[in-house]
Amino acid sequence: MSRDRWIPLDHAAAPGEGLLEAGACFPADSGWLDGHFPQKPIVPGVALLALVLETACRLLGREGPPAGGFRLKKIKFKQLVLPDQNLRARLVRLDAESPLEFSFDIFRETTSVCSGIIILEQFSEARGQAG
Amino acid sequence: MKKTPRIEDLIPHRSGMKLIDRIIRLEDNLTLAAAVVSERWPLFRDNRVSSLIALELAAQTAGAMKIWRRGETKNQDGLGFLAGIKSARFFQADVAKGVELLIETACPKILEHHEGQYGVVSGRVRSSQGLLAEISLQIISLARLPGS
Repeated sequence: MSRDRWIPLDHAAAPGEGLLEAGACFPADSGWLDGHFPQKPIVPGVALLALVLETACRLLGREGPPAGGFRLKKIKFKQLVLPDQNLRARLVRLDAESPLEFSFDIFRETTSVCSGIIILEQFSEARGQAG
Repeated sequence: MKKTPRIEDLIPHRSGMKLIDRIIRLEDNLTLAAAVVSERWPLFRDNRVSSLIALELAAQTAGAMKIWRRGETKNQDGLGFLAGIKSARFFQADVAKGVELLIETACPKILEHHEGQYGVVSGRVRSSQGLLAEISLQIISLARLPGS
């Protein structure tokens, strides 16, 4: 289960070589929906990407992203995500020689609602404390 | 001298999800805003916030641009949304509570279509320590919400 109220991940797993999966659901009382938006609650895109980043880090055995940061490419938000919808993040390693680069989709049932590429920089043992 | 509007008058975000504190500069296709990292922010953990939050800061700052609001006067029920991210680079993992972040967004061109507007917004988020993130956002502003 989730260890962070902002990232409601559950049953994260690596079901195959280079494949990472996790389920998530943003409840109606999630902080992400507190004012986003008052008349029409919609899960923010940044919340979906936080799921992807957390899934990658957790299944790589890391507490958080590398101190050197990370990159996103070709992100598409295809459909609105509403409260209490069950989601599944699926990350696929792009290249066996690039273990920190993944393409991903976030599915609602069988429909991809968000997709793209995430690239983590190399991890070092000391976490960044800049800023 | 013309007064800079309040952020609340420019974007629909409220309560915990209104992250921008103030608008410093507001032009047709350039906006500069400021926000101080707070424990009430999303992704705040262990006295720091994930640098991913720079994405939401850039999106809210982009939403404040005059160029979008001009369109909304025609479509009072419309909202702006992130359609995509062409690319984004986050130069560090996180940033500490209390740090002031400056968010600059620019959108040189807006395309009009029958359902609203579309534009590519470049954003930079930085602190006094340096650049936190560079982001290229794709924003759409719709006359009405899908399904509404």
